[in-house]
Amino acid sequence: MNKDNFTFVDSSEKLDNEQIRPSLTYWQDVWRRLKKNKLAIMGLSGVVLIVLFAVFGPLFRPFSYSDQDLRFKNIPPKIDVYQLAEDRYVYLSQDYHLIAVTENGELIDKYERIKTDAINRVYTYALEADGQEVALDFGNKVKANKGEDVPYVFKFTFAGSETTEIFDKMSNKTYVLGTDALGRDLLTRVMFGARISLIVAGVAAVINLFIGVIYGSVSGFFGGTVDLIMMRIVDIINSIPLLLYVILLLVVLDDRGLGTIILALITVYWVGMARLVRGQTLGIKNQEYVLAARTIGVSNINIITRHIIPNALGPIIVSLTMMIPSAVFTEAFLSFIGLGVSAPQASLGTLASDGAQLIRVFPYQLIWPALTIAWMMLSFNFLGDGLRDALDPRLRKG
Amino acid sequence: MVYYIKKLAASLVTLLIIITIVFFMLRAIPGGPFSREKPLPEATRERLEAAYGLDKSNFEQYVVYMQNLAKGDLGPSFKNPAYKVQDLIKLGMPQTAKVGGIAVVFIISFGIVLGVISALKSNTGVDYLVMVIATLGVTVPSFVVGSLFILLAQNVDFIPVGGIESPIAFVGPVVALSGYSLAFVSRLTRSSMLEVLRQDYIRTARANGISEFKVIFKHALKNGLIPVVTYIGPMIAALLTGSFVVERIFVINGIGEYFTASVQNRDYTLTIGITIFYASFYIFMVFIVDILYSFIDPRIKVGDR
Repeated sequence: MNKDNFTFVDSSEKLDNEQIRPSLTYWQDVWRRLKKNKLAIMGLSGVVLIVLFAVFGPLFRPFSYSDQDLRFKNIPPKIDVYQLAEDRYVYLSQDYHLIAVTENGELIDKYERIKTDAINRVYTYALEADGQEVALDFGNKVKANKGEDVPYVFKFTFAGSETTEIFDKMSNKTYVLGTDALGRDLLTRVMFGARISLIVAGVAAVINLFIGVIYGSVSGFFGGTVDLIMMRIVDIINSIPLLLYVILLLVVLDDRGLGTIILALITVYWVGMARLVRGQTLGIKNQEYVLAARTIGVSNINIITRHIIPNALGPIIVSLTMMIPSAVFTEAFLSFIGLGVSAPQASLGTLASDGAQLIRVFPYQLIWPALTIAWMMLSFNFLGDGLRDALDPRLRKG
Repeated sequence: MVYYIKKLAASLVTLLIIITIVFFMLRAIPGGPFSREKPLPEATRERLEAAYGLDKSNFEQYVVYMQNLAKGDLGPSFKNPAYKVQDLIKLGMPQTAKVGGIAVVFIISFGIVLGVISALKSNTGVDYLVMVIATLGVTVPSFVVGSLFILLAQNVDFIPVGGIESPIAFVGPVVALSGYSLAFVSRLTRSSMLEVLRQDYIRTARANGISEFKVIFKHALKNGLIPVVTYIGPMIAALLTGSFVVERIFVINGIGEYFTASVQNRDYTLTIGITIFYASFYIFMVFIVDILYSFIDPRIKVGDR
């Protein structure tokens, strides 16, 4: 064997190249794993977007959430515009209000109805600014509703010329998502609603997390009489219907603000977290590593904080991310039965439940708040799932 | 055995405390059953209150109420004096329980199966699909689902708009009622199964050549179901005793509807009656869950607590 047959390999080609990675802290590691999960990143961006939408969105709208314009009630985001004359465009609303609009869909003013001829089914409108009259014949609309075939639905007569054709179906430029029953900008209200829902849910969930985890782990860990008494208290709180607390709190505090609703949510919701953590603790405290910790004399507090809570973190995080949606839901439910935040403030729940009453006529008033709720829920859920996988110490490798 | 009897006794004490708390809570709310927007004449109101014993002190009323309760009498409803509270509960219960029962069966059978499938196929297309479906369930509030369903029913002939007279009419209420819990159960099952499947004993079981079916259903599922059982117990109590929202939207004359109305009308006896009913049912379910715990996971030993 000749040594000329051998050459030195470059160090990069060495097979036993010792793998050196920078050592990562626990949270760096969590972040590294979270980044790999596409769904979680989608969720995270969704959460960031909705927070930006709720916090900064209203700055870009010319209206405030309480600005009413009674001329423009229930205007949808998409409007059918008729051209009556050169430079004169109108939109006829669902409840027969005639609105003057510009060529590209901005609302200008409302026509006053000056004559109502119910027998011939003709309404006459006039614009206050110039007093010129527009006659609307809606006889065919009535026939169409009965299922008859009609050549056109509405006929407008303005300055002698008749219009029956829709000029264009355009989007509402003034109110992008339309207006509600009091002529308030729906987009602005959805933004404010998201803000209020986020505050209520976020504050309630974080407080619940702390109370629930401490209470549940103590109860489960010490067991015996302590557990019995603590769980009886939980049972008592949990067995009384939420509605009763809310009504009582509203009456006692005499206030329909955010604080009361958050307080009501806290009264009830920490209980679920406490039960979950207790259940987890019961299982974990008998595991070998807890026994090992005990034998070397680790204090009870350290066993709970170092061994039990980190190992129960998966279900706790899942439960936390479900708690935010569920707080939003409960708040929406309270709004639905008329116990939500007081007007003119509105949460997404209030908006959706207002919209639900009008779903047959103005479906857009339900759809937009409901979609925003859905967006919020999806984001939190995806993020929570990703976090669950990322936070689990048993998944750590290398 | 002694343990369970102790547990049962503790449950009864809990119930007693709840009744007491609710009784005094309701009387702390200003306004009574006979205060209206247009006030009744003073004399009439006094006689009505005397007839129902409302002129006595709270404590005396409480004693009388508890005595009647011991005989199984929940007293007359203030708003419908012709009915006893227990009769109203009997009237409302069947409708509520029918819808709730179907929802419970639906949730447990689908939720757990979906969760297990998703955990076994974790991070595959199947997993994502199941989780997206499950997530959709928690994204839309039940009153929105209900309203959309009513909108659908108005345009389709074969689905009735309200009530639960025909089998097809159950679809709307059951879907609206179970969406959230179904999603929760499947996600909880998934997350807890994932935990369990990583444990050493599962690897040992697999290494011993036990069939995959047995590993999952006999070894993994038993431990994986512990958090799920914790949730399902109270959930059953909640679903069977009614949802205010779903009953209101679908015009079901169930307990939830009675309860909301009773709180708004300050119909004390009816509110307390329904609360007692709800609470006893709930406590019973928690009791059952506790017993189930020790069956599913022998590590949670009765004596340890």
